[in-house]
Amino acid sequence: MHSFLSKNFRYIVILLAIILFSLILCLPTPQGLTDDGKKALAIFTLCIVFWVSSVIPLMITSLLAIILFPLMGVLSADKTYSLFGNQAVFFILGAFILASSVTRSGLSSRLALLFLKWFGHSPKILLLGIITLAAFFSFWMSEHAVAAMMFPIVTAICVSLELKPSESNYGKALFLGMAWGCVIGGIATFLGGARAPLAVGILRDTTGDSIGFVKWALAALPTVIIMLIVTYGLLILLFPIEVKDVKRARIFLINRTAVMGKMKRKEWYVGILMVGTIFSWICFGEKFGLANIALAAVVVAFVFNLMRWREVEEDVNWGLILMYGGAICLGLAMGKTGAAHWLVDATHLGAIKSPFILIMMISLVAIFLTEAISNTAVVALMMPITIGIAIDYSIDPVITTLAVTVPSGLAFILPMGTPAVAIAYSSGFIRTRDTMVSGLILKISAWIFFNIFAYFYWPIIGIRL
Amino acid sequence: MDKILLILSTTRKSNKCVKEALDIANKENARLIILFVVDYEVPQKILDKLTEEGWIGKKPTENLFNAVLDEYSIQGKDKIAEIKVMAKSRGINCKSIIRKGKFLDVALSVVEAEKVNLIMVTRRKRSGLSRFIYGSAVAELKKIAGCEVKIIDE
Repeated sequence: MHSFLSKNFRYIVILLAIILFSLILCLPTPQGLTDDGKKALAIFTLCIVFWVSSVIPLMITSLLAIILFPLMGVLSADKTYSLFGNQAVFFILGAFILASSVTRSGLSSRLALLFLKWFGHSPKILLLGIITLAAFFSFWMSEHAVAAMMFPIVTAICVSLELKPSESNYGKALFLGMAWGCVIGGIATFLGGARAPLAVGILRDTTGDSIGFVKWALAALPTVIIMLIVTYGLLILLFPIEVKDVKRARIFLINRTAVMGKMKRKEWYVGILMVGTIFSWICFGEKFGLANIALAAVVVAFVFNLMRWREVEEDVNWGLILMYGGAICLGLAMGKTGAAHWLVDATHLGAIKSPFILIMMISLVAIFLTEAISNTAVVALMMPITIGIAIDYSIDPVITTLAVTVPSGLAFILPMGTPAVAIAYSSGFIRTRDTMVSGLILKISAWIFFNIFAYFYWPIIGIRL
Repeated sequence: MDKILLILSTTRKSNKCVKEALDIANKENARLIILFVVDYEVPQKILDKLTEEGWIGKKPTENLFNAVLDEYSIQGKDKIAEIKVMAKSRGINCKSIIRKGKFLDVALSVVEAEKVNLIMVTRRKRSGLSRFIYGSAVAELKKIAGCEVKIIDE
């Protein structure tokens, strides 16, 4: 029986999803919901099952939504396909292409090695360096790309120190520090992952509202700083360091830096381009648009021959466009047909009178849901509902967007939560029991601090509950 | 008993299993074959995750996959060297093999090539539900190996 289940798991889930989808369509339309709303809800349910179970890739689920909306007459084909032209799609594509140029030029590895060399004086300082570096890089590049870039460096440090996998506390702390640094740093800006631009894309298409690069960073940064401190303290406390010195790791870092030689001209140009782009996002993002700036920087990179198209094709995952198009389409359809509004009414959330408690609940669901499913999927499935909540309860939708998107990036415990943690698991140093308690402590701390800042700090920067 | 095959992999390498394999080999005066499988499945899952959820492109994912496999190979060599020292001190004749691939495929190919009498393997700690839903490579090995399989729980 178990063999039958394991072999046919995906088909069973697909069948169940189709049954659920058909059931919603066949049932009489409930009061307060339109026929189109019912169809949108059926498609939404189908996508949730597929996103949560991962029986088909995320982007293919999105593709399914794109096919079903025009087929079932919920949205016109023209409208559905035009959503691929969303600014969020082009912003993240531009950011990924730029990140590719930073990695390909060798600039990211050089900076990582140089930075760690400064921190390589004692085991505790080196650990702090890895956490800080992972977080700082994740401000400007996808956190997953940062984890993938740092994995060989941290592995080499462990090898140089002769740390034993699954036994060494220091090895565990280094890999967890790397992963959690990436996770925490990834929530700070739009560039840390795909979820923030996606959320802002859904927000803009559904409500017309938006949030800028700087305001987002200002809202998220206090949580990031506090959580980095908590992470460092927790790793030191739960994984007492058994290593006396890290001289050999420092020698490795010095040697690797020496092998790289002087900074090449291409690295300088890429560095200048990145600094200029980030400066433009911060200063002119509202005026010129984040996507325009990102794409302009990509054009400049090609004009100065800083990268080749073949490299872009190898480094950028084009499935992202499908995921974005589908998720934005789903959000729009749920809002336009009134399905999101009906869903909010049906859940009796009206019993909750305080907007702050609603925000706490939304962030709690997002922060725990992200352990089980992809954070992009969390955003795609929660955004339409929470925008409905925001409209119904006269809360600024920017707040619900932050309450979904920031916590949905904070997956600390399970490898299926986020690739950065999965990469740390792959080192062989970490077992599930190592992250269960510590990850849960981090998760609860992050949720508490996030809500404290939402209540006391956000009004100061103009985000009022 | 002529040959005992001790199968270790990146996720199945408990010291308890190693100790028991050495004890049996010593007692039976058998040759110990140590197989370390650099298991594709774990990095493959990460690779899929990076592609499908991390939105990372083909090249960086491949680089990471190779880095992970290299790390596993180092871990395998270290583990084998450690066991060889223990075997030598007890006068056990042993041979080692490191192979990359899927656990079950590699294990079965070595079992067939080496014509072993007994297989010793670690079973990872997992919930009954997980085993029920996703199955178990070790249970599958026991079913089709064609010789005695001793499973040591982690």
